Amino acid sequence: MKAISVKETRKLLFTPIVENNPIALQILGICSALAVTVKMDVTLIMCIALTSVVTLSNLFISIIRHYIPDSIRIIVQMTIISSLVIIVDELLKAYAYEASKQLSVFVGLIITNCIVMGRAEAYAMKNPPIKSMLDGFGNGLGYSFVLLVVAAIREIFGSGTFFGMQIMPESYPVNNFLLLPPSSFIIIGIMIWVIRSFSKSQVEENDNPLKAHTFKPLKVKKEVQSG
Amino acid sequence: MNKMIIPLIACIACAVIVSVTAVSVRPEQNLNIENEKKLKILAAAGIVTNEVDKEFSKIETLYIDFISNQLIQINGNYDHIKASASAESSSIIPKNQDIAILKRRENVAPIYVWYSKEEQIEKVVLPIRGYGLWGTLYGYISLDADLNTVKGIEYYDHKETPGLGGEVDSPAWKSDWNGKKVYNSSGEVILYVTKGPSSEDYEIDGISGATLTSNGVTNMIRYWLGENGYGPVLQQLREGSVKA
Repeated sequence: MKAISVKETRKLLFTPIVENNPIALQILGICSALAVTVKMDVTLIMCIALTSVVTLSNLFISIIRHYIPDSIRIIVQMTIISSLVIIVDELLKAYAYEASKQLSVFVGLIITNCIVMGRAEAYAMKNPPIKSMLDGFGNGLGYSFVLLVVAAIREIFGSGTFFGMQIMPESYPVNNFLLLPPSSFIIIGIMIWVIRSFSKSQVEENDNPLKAHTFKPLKVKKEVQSG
Repeated sequence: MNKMIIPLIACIACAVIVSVTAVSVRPEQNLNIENEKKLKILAAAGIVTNEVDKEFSKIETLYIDFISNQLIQINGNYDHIKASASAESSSIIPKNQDIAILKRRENVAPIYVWYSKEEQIEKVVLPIRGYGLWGTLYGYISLDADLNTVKGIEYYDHKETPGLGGEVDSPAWKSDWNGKKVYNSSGEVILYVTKGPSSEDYEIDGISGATLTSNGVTNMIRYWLGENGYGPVLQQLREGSVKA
């Protein structure tokens, strides 16, 4: 196994945070970003859960990648991913019961999180184990970065607390809009806008530009009426 | 065939690891569930605390024998939910009485009692359960010293739709129970979940979009607090003919 240079390690770990963020650029894994970002502590546990699942699933899938027949590769990937998710779920139920109750189905839904499947299919099936593991961890960090920022905004301005501690003045009213899932859409949208105004390369080409308005009167063909 | 060996080994390995994890953390999980139940019992009685065991030690657990309608003594651990599943410790509920759709009822159920300094009942918590829309709701209802006024209700396990029937967990709905009356003057259960907002002291706010859950809640109250449930023993306790 070839050693991976420091530069490459850094690239694998940190490009998914801003330059190639799974949520902000690839728009993957949105559903949990909407659902579990009301409170910081719950979000943090979700981030740890997803990061460990995507790291380990990338590692294990990469180890056996040469032995997975192409026709059943998705099933094998799913088996590994879902086993990891069940283990995480069981551990949470045993050691972080409160958080697991609040995360409810969203831990189970890591199985279908596009980031986990996407990295397994796009990276781990083609690259050696250690690199795949770093890639998985990097993408987990990218996911966590977005989720934690969204959760921080929602908790501070929504319920006026941070990790459950009161930081806004007592008179701060509860902002119901920020406590409801749609607010994450708007926060993520603003984040994407900010990221893209700093790194222009992320701006996509407009595939369907609107026709510029013209002031010339349109030539209307006069229909020739026959008869 | 050779190609399938590694995926097969991977699958077996996954299965083994998942099973081992699930079995080895089961004791901790059960402890959490027990703790959760205790928290809900305390919450139904209006006690919010971090020191569950300390608060719980103030409670006396009594057991009701539904067949003889008497209070009996049980030593050691007794799980009435488990008992309701086995043939020896439960009985089939006749179809016409089974309004909460339980099929079987345990022969003995626990009630949790707080005593005042004068040895009078201060409040009780009674386990209740019944079918809602998607499954059985498990919870506790708490009654005040007169054994008629509701103190609170808590569910610790249900499968109702989040946002609709799941609103049985919402503090706003639960707070509507406080002070409501269960029985009328002739001892019948009249408390029910109405449609829309409640106006009488034996009505509970309906949950919008969850008529079947609301009906399920009504039915379990009617069953458990009625004559086939805790009703007769509560009546005896109220009259003072039985000393708890």
